Amino acid sequence: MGIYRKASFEAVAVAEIPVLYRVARRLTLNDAWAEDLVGQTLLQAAKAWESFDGQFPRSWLIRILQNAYRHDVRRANRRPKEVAIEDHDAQGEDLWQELSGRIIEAHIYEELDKLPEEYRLAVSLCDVEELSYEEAGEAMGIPTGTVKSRLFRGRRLLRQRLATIQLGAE
Amino acid sequence: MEGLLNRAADGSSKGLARWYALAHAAHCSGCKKFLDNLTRMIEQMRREKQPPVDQGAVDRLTALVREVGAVESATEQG
Repeated sequence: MGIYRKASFEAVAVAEIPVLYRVARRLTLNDAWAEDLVGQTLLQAAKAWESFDGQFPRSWLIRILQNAYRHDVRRANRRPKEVAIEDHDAQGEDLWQELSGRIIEAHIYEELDKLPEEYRLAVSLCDVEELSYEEAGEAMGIPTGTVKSRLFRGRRLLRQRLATIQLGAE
Repeated sequence: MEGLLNRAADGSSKGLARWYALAHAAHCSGCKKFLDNLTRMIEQMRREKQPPVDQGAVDRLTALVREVGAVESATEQG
């Protein structure tokens, strides 16, 4: 049984490295820090693998990664540089504007990286990594309803930022 | 309505909720634009996952996983 589970850990962990790296990169906005964080995550996960129930392994790994990230932030008092964003909800003028595919293709990731962490992570997990709301909730340690509110708000902020770029380009 | 449109755009709603969102958007130009934009944004992120993963980092992390597995195996056998 022990040998079977260890082999399973290796298979699961290796397959999840690209997803973990992208999520780590999106949290830290830094390549070296992202790699270091994934390394920490894999070591912690290997130790905890025996007690893991096997449900939602991707969410489980991302949760470990997120905890390691928070630990790093607290310990070294370092945080990725985020751009303060304005919420145009009250104006609502660009909410319904048609966005061109060209603007979306060219700027979506650049603008996603500028969102505050909680929204950036929700959009990243649900839209880039294609986790269900439930899996994203497991990964972030929050209820499904909170995942939805962060995701919908994150998408709205992203759309507004893209609309602002489009207005500037016209 | 925004929640229903979000769930229609990412494919998480089914049945009546999905039908209602799509039927509404078909008759409301604002919601149609909203739904189209959102669908396009989500499709773009799903299609082209970013940032690209550095292959060197993947190789180093894979080696780390294998090393940990080998150490655990040796500990268990020893």
